Amino acid sequence: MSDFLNKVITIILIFVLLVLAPLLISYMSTDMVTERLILNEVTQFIDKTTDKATITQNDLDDLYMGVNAHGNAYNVNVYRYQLVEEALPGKKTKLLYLKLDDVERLEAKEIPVVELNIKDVVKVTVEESALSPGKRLFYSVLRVDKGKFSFSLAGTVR
Amino acid sequence: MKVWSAIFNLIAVVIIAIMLIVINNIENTNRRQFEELRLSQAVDYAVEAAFRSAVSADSVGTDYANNGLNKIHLNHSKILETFGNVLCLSYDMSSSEENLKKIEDCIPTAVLCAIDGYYVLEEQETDFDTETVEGNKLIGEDYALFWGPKRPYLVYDGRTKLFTANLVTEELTEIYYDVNEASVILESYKDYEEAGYGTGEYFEKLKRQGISECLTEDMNYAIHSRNIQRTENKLNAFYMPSSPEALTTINSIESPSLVLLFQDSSFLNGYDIDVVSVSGYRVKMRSFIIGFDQVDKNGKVVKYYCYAGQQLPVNVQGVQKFDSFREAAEDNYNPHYEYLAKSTQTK
Repeated sequence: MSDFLNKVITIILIFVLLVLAPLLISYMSTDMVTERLILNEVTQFIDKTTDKATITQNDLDDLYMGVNAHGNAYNVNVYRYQLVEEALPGKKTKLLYLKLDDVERLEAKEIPVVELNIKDVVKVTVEESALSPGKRLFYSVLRVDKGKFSFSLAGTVR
Repeated sequence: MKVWSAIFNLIAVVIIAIMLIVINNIENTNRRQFEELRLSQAVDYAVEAAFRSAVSADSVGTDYANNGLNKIHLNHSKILETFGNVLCLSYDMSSSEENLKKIEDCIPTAVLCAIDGYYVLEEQETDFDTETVEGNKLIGEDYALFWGPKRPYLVYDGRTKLFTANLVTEELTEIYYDVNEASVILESYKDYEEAGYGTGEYFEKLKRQGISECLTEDMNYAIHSRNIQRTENKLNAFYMPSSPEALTTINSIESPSLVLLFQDSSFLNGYDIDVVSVSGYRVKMRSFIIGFDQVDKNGKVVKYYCYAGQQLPVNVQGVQKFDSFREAAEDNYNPHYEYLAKSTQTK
């Protein structure tokens, strides 16, 4: 009986070493490259839109396609913040960035283009919409992974 | 046989355990590298926003001398606030006073370079005992960052002369130590060249070296002062730029610029990133818009605009200067897409 158990354990271990381990390493390296590529996509979008001071539906489509073209599914949101300066007591002022709904209106086709002012901020938020089963296993059981990948980046209109 | 099989299994389990530890380390390294890249990018954007908040330009009496850099004005009052706000947006944080203070704590120092002098960001005490009758008494608990007074770019000629330099012009202001002869004379490289003191290239090199030394020394001093405070509070010391002997310790500063260091920002992403992000922006040129008339294929005169410095055809007429595209458009000028796509010719 113990001989049989030994054989089963051996087979499981061989499976882990020869199949799961290479898969895990491959998945991690792919993930690493993907994260950097997504960061590049977001940086390119921010540079482009802050340079030309407009956001069009084509720009958004390019960003959504670019971010989601690397295997996983991501939720991408773009926000416009308007810089205003508010007076405080004592002749002081405070900077405020107001969040506007221009991008939502652009996507709803209420406006043809979002026109940005100098010193406005364009912010992009990327969040992984669902974990793959493998990633979920590594995250919840082994705690090897860090869970959902998400980040934000904001740039000012030039 | 059973024993060998058990030993084999045991070794396999050990290998799997080692593999998990290694994979965990690799994952941490990957994530840390990603956060470093992200931080670097976020700091770049925030510094750019901060510099934009400081720069303004005259629109009266614009001219082409020195790319219009003489007309650039710098106001540092909103630099830190803008930097903190944009960084907060990048990290999904509210721009509360506490968060802005935490971000300030990660800035060892910064330098704002104007045409004829520079400001250094320094730590100063803010808690004065106002109840003391004899005057304000320092308590030594609360510190905050403030921009210091404007300092001139001091240049030594290696012997006796001491000058203050201007970033964009060839003017050197000679300073005399003798109190009785406290006079200041404005002269240019050409005057010194004619008087036999040295060539223009010599003074230009001297100026660049002097500016680099001034900035590095003052930045190091500001960081050193902060490090004393941080060491007492058992915090990591800030990185100091290398020795000021080299000519290009800080990249050559040739126009209004902002250089900002950022370090020790573990609260932003949970990683103790010990990498220093140095970010700098400078005004390359004051961008003027040129309006001109051009005859098209049908012999009709069309009004176009493009940036000054972009290659214009020889036979253009009616050249006008504008401060912005909007002004040109309001005067019925059209964008010339061919010229606008070209790079501007800068110094």
